[in-house]
Amino acid sequence: MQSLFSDPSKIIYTVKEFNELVNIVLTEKVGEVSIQGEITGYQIRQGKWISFDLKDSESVINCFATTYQIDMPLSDGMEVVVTGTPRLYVPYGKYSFNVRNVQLKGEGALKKAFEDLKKKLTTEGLFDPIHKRSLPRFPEKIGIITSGEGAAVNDILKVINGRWGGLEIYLAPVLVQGKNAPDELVGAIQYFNQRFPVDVVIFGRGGGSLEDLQAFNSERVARAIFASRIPIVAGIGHEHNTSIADLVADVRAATPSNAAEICVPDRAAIAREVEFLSHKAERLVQQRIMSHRHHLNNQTQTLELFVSTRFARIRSLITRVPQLLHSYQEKTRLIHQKIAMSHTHLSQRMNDRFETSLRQLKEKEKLLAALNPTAILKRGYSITYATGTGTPITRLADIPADGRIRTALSDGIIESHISEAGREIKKSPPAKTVKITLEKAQETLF
Amino acid sequence: MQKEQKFEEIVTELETIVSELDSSIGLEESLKKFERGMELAKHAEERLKTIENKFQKIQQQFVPEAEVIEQTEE
Repeated sequence: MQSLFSDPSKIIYTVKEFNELVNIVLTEKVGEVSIQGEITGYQIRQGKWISFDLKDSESVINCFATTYQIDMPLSDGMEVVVTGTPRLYVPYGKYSFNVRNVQLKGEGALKKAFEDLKKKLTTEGLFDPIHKRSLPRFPEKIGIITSGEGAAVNDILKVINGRWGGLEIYLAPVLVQGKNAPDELVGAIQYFNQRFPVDVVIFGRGGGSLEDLQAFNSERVARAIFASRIPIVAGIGHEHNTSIADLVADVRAATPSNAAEICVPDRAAIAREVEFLSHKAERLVQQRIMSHRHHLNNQTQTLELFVSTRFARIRSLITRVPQLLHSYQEKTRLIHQKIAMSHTHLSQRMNDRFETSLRQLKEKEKLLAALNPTAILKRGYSITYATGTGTPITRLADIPADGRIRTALSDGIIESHISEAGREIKKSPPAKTVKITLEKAQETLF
Repeated sequence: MQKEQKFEEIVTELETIVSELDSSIGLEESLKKFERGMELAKHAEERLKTIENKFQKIQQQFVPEAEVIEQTEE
């Protein structure tokens, strides 16, 4: 200090020069400090500039910050520790404190900040179940964001190794408390999303006071979790601790160990499930085979019934064949009998007819024999013909003009010539006589 | 090819097969599916025998990227 004002009597500053000098003293010589006090007159201008007074019972200092730097909702009456640098605003010669980081002090402040942020983010929908990403059922790469030193990482690894194998596990060691913790938490979430995609991220730390868990209640961390493409399981603190990070995470686990249980399936449970599935598959196939067999049996029975019905009909037809044959034979026999009878009858009648005809013929023969002229001739009669014509002469008029006649006797012919003819009257000399000159006699008949 | 199948794919396929067997597919197809299912179950059981996990600590400083940009804007 002394060196800056080495010879005050020799130098006269302008006002501006002096204010600049004091500003250098404040920013460079005093530098970054932390001050604890109570917030009063808190306000935000243009959504960007924050100003408030920090006071204690005896003094006040004016503070400035940007909304980028202060990510927790502050309000009047909160006890805080601000970290930053004092600075003099040269044109007005007034000094203020440039806040880089604020940490809440005391349960009351922390609770109020927590409630305010929760309300704000709820309104924005950051906790809405519709935004929750679902976890992979069987992750292969797991990211862990937690302290590299604490018990949390060991608890997580112990649980994972006990449940599942073949995993790649990557730990992003971060500060989980203190003023740099939010930055590192946000940085690690972004790192996994942008540079090192894993299937799921376990985000956590062991238990602690509300003050210890402050980083997990920061708005920046909440927004980074919300923006993550990789699903995040939060296991922060103990079961009774609830952080903003828990609320915005895709799944909230009670503890880091519980987060590991949620992320990784249990070998034994999956083995049981696989066994159940294969048993079920076996049972279903057996059922299907049974039902097919049943169906087939039904079909066979139907077919058998059909065939046996047909066979029965055929069999009954076959048994009827001899009957039919017999009746046919009987019919044939009757017809044969009839034919035979008809035949007998017919020949009988034919015989009868023949005999009758024969008898008739014989009678006619007798009659004919009786009528034979030669027979008459033997009894002394003769027949006279005109020679040349053969016409028997029964009357005188039949005598031919040449008078030549032939007379047939029983054993020959007499050829004669008539010289005179006259009529013979009974009991008197013939009125007409015939004078015959025998010319020749022959023993030929006709 | 079978060895490259992810565990999730194995279990999902097995589950699909079981639900298909529960639906009205033909006998021949169901026998094929069943055979595949048994194969998958065997793969799954073999995979379950893997116990070791690889663990690695990332050596690097984590800085929020968006924050860096905003600060340079100021």
